[in-house]
Amino acid sequence: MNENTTVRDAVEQEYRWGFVTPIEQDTFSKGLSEEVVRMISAKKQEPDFMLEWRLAALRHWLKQTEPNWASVHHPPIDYQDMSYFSAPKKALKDLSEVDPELLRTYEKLGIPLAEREALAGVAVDAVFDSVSVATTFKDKLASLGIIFCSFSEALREHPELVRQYLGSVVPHTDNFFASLNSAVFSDGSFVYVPKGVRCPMELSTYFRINARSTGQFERTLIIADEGAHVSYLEGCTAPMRDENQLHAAVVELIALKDASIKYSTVQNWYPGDKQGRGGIYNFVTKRGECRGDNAHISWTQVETGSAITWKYPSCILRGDNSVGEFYSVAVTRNVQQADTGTKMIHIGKNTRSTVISKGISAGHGSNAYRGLIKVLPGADHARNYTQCDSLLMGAECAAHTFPYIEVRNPTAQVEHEASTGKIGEDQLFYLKSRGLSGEDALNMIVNGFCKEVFKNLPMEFAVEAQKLLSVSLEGAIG
Amino acid sequence: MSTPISFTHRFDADFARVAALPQPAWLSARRRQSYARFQHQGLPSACDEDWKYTSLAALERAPLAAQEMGEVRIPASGFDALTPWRVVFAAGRSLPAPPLDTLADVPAGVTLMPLAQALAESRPAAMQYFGSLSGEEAFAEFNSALWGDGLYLELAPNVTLTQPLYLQQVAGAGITTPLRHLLVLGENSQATLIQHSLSGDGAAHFSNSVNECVLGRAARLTHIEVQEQNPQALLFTRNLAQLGADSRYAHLALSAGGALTRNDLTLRLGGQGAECRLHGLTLGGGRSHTDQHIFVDHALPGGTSRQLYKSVLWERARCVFNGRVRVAPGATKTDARQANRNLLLSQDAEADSKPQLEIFADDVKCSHGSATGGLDDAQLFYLRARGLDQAEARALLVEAFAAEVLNGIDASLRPILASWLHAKLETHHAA
Amino acid sequence: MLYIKNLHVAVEGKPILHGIDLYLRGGEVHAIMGPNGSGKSTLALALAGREGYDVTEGSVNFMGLNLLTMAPEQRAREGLFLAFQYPVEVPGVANVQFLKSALNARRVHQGLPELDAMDFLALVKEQLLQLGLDESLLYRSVNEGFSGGEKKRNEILQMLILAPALAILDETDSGLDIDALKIVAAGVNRLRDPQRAILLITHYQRLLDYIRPDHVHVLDHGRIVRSGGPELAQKLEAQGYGWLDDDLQQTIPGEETRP
Repeated sequence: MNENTTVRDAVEQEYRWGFVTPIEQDTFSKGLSEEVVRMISAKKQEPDFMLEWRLAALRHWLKQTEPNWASVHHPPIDYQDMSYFSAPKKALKDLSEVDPELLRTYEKLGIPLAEREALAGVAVDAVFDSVSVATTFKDKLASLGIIFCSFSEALREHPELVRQYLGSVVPHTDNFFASLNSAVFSDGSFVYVPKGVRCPMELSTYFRINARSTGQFERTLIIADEGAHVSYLEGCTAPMRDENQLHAAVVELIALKDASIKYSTVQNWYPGDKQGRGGIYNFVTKRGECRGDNAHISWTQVETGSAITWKYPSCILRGDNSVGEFYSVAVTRNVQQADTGTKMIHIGKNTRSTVISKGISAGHGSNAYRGLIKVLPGADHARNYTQCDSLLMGAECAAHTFPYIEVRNPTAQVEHEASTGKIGEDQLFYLKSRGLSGEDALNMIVNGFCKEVFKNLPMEFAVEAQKLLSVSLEGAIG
Repeated sequence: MSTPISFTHRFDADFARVAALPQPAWLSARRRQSYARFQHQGLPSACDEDWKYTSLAALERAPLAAQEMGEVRIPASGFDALTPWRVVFAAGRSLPAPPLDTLADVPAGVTLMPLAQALAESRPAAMQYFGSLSGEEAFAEFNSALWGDGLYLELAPNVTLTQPLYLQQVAGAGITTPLRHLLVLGENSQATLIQHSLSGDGAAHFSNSVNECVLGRAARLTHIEVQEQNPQALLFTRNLAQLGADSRYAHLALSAGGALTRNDLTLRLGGQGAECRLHGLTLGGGRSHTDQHIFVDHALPGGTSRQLYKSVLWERARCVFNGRVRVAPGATKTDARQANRNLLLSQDAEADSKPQLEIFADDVKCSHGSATGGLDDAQLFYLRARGLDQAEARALLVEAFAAEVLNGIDASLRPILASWLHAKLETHHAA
Repeated sequence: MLYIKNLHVAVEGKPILHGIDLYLRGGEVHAIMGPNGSGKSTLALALAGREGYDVTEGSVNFMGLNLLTMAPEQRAREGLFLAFQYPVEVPGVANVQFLKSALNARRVHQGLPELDAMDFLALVKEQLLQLGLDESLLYRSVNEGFSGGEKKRNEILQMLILAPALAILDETDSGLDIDALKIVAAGVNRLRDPQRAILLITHYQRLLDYIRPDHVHVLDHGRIVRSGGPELAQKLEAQGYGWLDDDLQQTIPGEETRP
């Protein structure tokens, strides 16, 4: 436990850092047009190819309509009623302006006092003393040839890499939200791990240099060259407040021959109040491609926040013997809605994929697993195993399972299993009869239910995720 | 839409003919309404989630003409020996006409007559339930507008139909007049229906039939559908059933062949403690495309549903399973399971599986599973190590896989279904 | 220690127990025997506080506390332990994690410091050894995939670690071979102590060869129809439950006149 605490202290110290970069003062007027896209690109002094790409995305986006197939409901979004460039956060004066519910959550999660303000969006201008730590990390990565920087910086310093890989997994025409992101994305992370290099540390947005708030349209691009290995952590357990209700991020992963990428997310965006007011809409496109033989991409996510979550981290298994994995825990309570899952596209021979999805619905929460397993004719001996379990707490919640399984190769073996049930009264009683409180018994059962997912998270993240789950489900049953 | 006349506008003459039939005014008004809706909505497209894996291009393209009833060959059927009660519909008309009073020894309390007659006589149950389940989907409206003939079966409370009712539907070439059947089972009554759809010859045809079944409290219906279609055939069936409290509904669908077969089975468990067991087997070869669409709606508490759908696919055959289970708010103690298993025997076969659970209540037990793959090498090897040759071993494994859908079928019906299955698979192995 | 007075219990509205009186003092071992369906497990589950086992009449005093108003976990923390007839599987929860949480919940309630991982493991390992259980059992999910015998021994392991004031063993002997039975019995005997009471619920006399009870009660149709010493168990073993019926005529009027 002591080690964990140390790690976490380090993490938390670093993590304050992301919020101190002075906030851009420029704000564009509301609305989206070619002019706005040109201004964004000009402002960021981007190369021409980037501007052309953004404009192509915009033109495509204008022809599309918002998808409506997901099992989520929300009032219509007026895309011309937002500002698309660095809208500075509206800073609150002090903690008294913050939703007391949010503050209580910080307390339960043990977030240090000093950080609560930053997380809640209170204007903070303290200067933290961790620059040296961050620089040390950066030096170490640089010595291995690993590039880890903001997307803007990558465009300036390594335009050829960005040009080669950007949009190669999620093209600008991919879907409504991906097109929108492609046209107006503000910033994000870029990682390149050169051939044969094993990244010696977990890369995290915590450690990112210049990690200012990247706003609602974040873009992440991670490339693991042949034989490279990297593990990337996104998000944090503390609920973050953001004035931007719509978040439409895009993450692209490219794993070349023998490379592996592990991408872990803990998402705890503001879910809104008990009625869901003010909660974040999180419409994300995440996709990885195992471009070479023996490549490996693994997604792990713990989704507890946002009013609406819409994301399907996916793997294109192009290289022979490549492996895709998706491990997910999604919790919805109050009136939260989640429609999440994955796509595993088997193209290469002997490709394997594993999908483990655990949905927990409480209160009026609605939780849907939506997944596609597609085995193309050339994918001889492809294997998929999918397991989706849903746990229901309360008569008003909902849990849905929508798998799509398309198999076009007789040597493939594809198996899908799903179960849905109420939390076991027998189990609760058994644990309580050994002296555990109702809440502890619930936590224990739920953590047991999610164990297969948690064990795929990096250690310190797993500990936080468990705690987060407990807090998320507090009071979920009587 | 490159065809000169789209599918939805080919039926004006047929509609004029059925609209002119002697019938109550309300019925012709309803036909008109349905025909207008059918033309207005048109055929579903691939953008429609319910038609994601099934293209209707073949239907649009098919050179089908409406047919006056000509000679239709009635093939001999193994099911004839099973029961004295056989009703044949050839090219959409009952044979011989009138057919139903020729059935001997039908027990008291059983009403069996043409549906049109039941409606003309304003039989209360027929009036109450006709059109109550069929819905507004394109092929349902098509049927409601254009149906020509069909059966009305009504069982009074506590009546048991002692032998199966065998319904043979033989399609002629071209567009067969749609069939419409209505079954109303009173409280605690029991019946077995065998519905056998087949092609009269090798010509292309389009057939459509709709069944509406209403089960009263504790009623039991066993419904066996056997579909044998020629490689040109286009078959669209809809089965709609409403289950009363403690009723039991068993449905077995055996589908073989056909260019395109679409079966929609929609059940509403509308009474506490209702149970259904739904089994289906698709045998597909050539370029056949079969789409099994199941929707089980657990509307009230304490319902039980079981689904087992399997397919055996060779050559370029494709099978779609879309099984949806919905548990309504408050439908606690629901116990629902669905399973889909697909066996691919060739490089070009394809299975698409979409089992769905939509659950709005917490105290439920629901699960589903789907598995697709080829024959198990270890099993094949084991059999061969015991002396079977490759072909025998395969045949044995395939038949064992397929025959699972016959589990739970009444012992008096099982042998004939098993031999039907065996013969169908043998044709394939021989080919 | 435990004073059950005129306990009536109904399950789903159906009365199962019709007035049980039972008094256990510290240091005593009582056995409750009876045919299937006589209400033995109902008594055990009602004492442990299982939801759905409705006490319609009567009282239960446990170490000066009104047991019936307490939540199941409160009962456990006060020192009541039920070894389940059918131990429940809890997927994903490691046995060791479960045991430690349970023990520390009780210790905190008793005002004792929580045991750290090292001390806890030392304690558990010793008990494992005594019960002939493999250490790997600790890291498997609670009861999941356990054999019948492993489940029962796991219950005894929990009992020894939690060291309850009152242990209720519900058919712990069923499904055990003779060697396992001896191990389980030895575990129970180790727990015998003037401060503790044990209530054995069993269908067979076999267990009582290894755990000698001070008192034996016969439960039938929701009533205690006979009480006596260990010799009663032997009589049941020799003659079965049938002979009780003959005497029942005398017993029931006696119960009715009870105040």
